[in-house]
Amino acid sequence: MRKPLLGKHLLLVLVLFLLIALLSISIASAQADNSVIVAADVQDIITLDPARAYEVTNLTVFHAVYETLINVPADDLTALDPGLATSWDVSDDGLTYTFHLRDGATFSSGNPMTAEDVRFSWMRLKNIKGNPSFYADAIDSITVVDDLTLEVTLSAPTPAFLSIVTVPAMSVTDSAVVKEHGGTDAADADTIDAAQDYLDQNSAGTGPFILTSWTPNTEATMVRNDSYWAGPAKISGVTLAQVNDSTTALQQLQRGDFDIVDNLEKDLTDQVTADSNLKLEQGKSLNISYLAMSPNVTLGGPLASQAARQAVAYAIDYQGIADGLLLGYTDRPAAMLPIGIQGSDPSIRYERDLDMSRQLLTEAGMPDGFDVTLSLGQGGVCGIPSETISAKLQNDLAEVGINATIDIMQSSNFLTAYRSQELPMLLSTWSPDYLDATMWSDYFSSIDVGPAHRMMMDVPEVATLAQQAGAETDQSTRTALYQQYQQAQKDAAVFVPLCQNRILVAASSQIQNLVFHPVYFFDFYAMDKTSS
Amino acid sequence: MGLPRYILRRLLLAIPMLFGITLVLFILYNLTQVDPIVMIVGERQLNNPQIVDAAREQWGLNRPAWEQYLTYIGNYLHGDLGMSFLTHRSVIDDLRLYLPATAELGVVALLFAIGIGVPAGILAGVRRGSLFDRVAWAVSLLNASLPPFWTGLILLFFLYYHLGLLPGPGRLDPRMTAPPTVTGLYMMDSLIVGNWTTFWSALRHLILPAFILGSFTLAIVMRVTRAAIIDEMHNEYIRTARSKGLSERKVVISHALRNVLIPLVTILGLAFAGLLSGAVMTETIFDWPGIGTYLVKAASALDYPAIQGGTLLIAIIYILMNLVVDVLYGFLDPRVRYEH
Repeated sequence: MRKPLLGKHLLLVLVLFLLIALLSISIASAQADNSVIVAADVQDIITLDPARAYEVTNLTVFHAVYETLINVPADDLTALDPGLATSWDVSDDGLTYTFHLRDGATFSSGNPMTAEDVRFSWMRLKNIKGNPSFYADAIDSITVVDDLTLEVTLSAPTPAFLSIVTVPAMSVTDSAVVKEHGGTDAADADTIDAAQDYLDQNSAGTGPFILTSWTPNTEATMVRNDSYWAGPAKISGVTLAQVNDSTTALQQLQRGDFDIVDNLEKDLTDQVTADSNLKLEQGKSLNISYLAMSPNVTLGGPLASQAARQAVAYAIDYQGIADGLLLGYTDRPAAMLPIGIQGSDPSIRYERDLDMSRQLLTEAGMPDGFDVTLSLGQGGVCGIPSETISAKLQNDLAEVGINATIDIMQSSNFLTAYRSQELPMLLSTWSPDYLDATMWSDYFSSIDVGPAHRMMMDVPEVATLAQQAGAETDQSTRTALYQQYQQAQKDAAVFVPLCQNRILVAASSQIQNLVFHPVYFFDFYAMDKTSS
Repeated sequence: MGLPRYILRRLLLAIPMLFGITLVLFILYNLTQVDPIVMIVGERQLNNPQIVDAAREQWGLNRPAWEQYLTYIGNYLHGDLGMSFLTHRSVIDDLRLYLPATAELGVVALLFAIGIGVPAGILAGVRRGSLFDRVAWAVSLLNASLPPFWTGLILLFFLYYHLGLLPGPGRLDPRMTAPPTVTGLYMMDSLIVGNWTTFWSALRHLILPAFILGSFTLAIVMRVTRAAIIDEMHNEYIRTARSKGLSERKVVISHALRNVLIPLVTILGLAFAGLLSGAVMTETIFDWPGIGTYLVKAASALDYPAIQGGTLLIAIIYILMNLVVDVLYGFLDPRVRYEH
C-alpha cells in the first residue's frame, strides 16, 4: 500500500528530467545571409596582430582582412601580381625598391591607404621584434616620397625581397587606427606598443572582410567590407570554427552546420566523393617532410660515410609511402626544393633501388648494414602518425640490413634535442615563410644556419651553390644554378625529402569558386555560396 | 562560534600544501631537459642569437633555477600566475577565459547526475530487488563503464548526424554569436541580455556533453543513494516514524533522506571537483573550449606557467570543495562540531 504513491512522485521527477534531456525541437535558425562557416584549426591562433602572429591559421584571417603590396597567384607561385602596389622598380644595385601604390584603396575605417601607412606597418613589424619581425630584417630605411610612392632601402641586396612583401605579416594596417589604440612604430615598440588587444578583436586593413571577433580556441568571425575598393565580396561573412575531429567535422558539413572543412583526414575522402552534396578539393602545400642524416663523424657515426647515407636513400620505398600510406594525396619533391618553386626539378630525386643500396653499403665498408637511431616528434610526419611512418622506414631499411631503432619523442623534447645537435638521423617537416627558393636553400645548405647547422652539415659544394643561386638576380641563370644545387643536395644525401603533402578540403556543393591557395589557404573574396 | 575559526584554520593549512605542489611541479619540469625557448621564439628566429638572448632575458630563463622558482612564488603571492609561453597572455586571463565553459558544463553534468541519480537511487533502494532496481543498476553500470570518447561519438552519430534531434559539437550553433561576456556562462549571459534563442541553443548544446561527462558521477550517486537508503530503512527511527502513521513518502523524504545526504554530499563535493578538472575527453570530442583542452595543450607544449597555474587552480578547487563538504556536515548532522 505504500509503494505506489512513492513510486509515482519519484517517477514524475525522473520523467521530467528525461523530458528536459530529450526536449529537442529544433528552432529553425533560418538565416538570410550567405556567410560561410569553415571548420579549421582555430586553436592554432595565438594573436591576430599581423606584427606578432607567426602561426598558420592566422594567415587565412589576414588574407581576408588585410592586403599586401604584392600578391602571389594560386596557380603560379613564381609570379608576382599587383596588390596594393600597382607597380614597383628595383634599382640596379638591388638596394632600393620603389613601390607605386594603388589610388583609391581605403581602409575599413574609411581612411585612404597611403605610403605612410605602409611605412608605419613595416617599421612596426620590424621594431616589435616579435616572431615574424625577421621579414623586415632586410629593410634599412623607408622613405615616403608622396602619398602614393614609397622608397625602401635594403641593407644588402636581397633578391627574395619581393617574395617577402607578399607575406601576410607585411600587410598594410591603418596607421591612424592602430596608433589610436596604442600602436607605435618607434624603435622601442617591443616594450611600448599596446595595440595587440585591439588587433586581436578588430582588423584595421583594406581587405574585403572585417574581423568582428576572435574567441580563442573557439572561433574567429569576419563580415564583408561593403566599401572594399575593388567591390564587395559575394559572401556576407566568414566564420572559422574550431574542430578537433575530422569525422565529426564531416558530419557537421553533411548536416549543413559547416560549409567547408579544412584539412580533412585522408581516409575520409571516400565519404566525401560518395556524397553528391559535397565536393573534394586538393590543394598543394609547400611543406616538405624529410629524412635528415648527419654527415659529421661524431654525430652521424656510420652515417658520416656518404655512401652509407646514399644507401639509406636508395633503400626507402617512396612510392609505397605515397600510395600506401598517403593514398596518393601527396607529391614527391626534388631534393629539398618543393614542386612549384623556382628551379624545382622533381626528376632530381631518389627512387628505391635495393641492389644499388647494397652495393653502396659494401662500398662504405659495411656490407651487413649498421645500427642507427631514427628520432622523430610525436606529431606525425607527412600527415602520417609517427608510429606508422617510422615503422615503414624501419622495415624498408631492414631489407638492406640497416637496423634502425625508433625514438618517438615529445615534440618540445625533439625540437630541443634537434637544436642542440644531438640527433644523428631524424624525420621532420619544413614549412616556408615566403616563396623564394632561398627559403629552402638558405637553411639546408650551410653549417651556420638552420637544419644544416643542426645536422652539422659541412658540404662545401652544396653551400657554395646555395650561396650563388640565392644571390643571383638574373632569373634564367638562377634557375640553372638551382638545378645544379639540387643535384649536389641529392648526392650529399644529408636531407632526403619524403613527401610534399596535399591539403584536402571538403566543401558543400553550394560553395562556388573554392580556390585553395598554398600560402593563404582560402581566398574568400572570389568565393560564392548559392542557396540550396 | 567555532565555524569561522575552523574555516580559517583549514585555509591556512592549505598554503603549505599548495606550496608543496608548486615545488614538485617545478622540479619535475626541470627534469624534462627541455629548453622553453623553443616554445617562445619562432623557429626562424631561433637562428638569431640576439633575439634568443633578448627572449631569455625577458622571460628570466637566463637565471638559475632556484631564482626562477622564487620569482614564481613571489609572483603567486601577488596573485600573478605569470605569462604563458604558448599564448603570450597572462595565465590568469587564460584561465578566466576557459574556466566558465568548463564550469557551465560541470554544473549541468552534476545537476543531471543528481537529478536522475538521487531519485533513481531512492526508488531502487526502496524497491530493492525490483525490476526497476535491476534495470537501473545495469544501465548505470553500462553507461559508467563505456569510455566517453566512444559513447560521445556514438551518440553524436545517432542523435545528431542521423536523427538531427540534438545539435553537434560546440557551445552554440555555428551561425550564432556568443552573448556579451558577463559571467562567461553562455546560458547565464544569454539570459542577462534576454536572448532566448541563444539560451536555447546553449542549453541544447549542453545536453550531450553533460550527459557523457555526468554518466560516471550519475552511476556513483545512484549506487551511494541506494545503499544508504537500504541502510537507513532498517533503522529503529524509521519503524517509529511508520508506526506513527506517517505516509511512506514522508518517511523516506523527511527521515531517511536526511541521513542519506551525508555520504551523498561527500561524494558530490569530490565528484564536482573531478568534473571541473577531468573533462578533457568530453571537451575534445565536443570541441568545448574549456580548461581541460587548455591544460592538455599546455602540457604537450611544456608551457610551464600555464601548467603550474592550471594545477594550482585545480588544487584550489579540490581544497575548497573539501572544505565546503566538511562545513555542510555541520548543517546536516548536528553532532558535528568544529572545535579544537
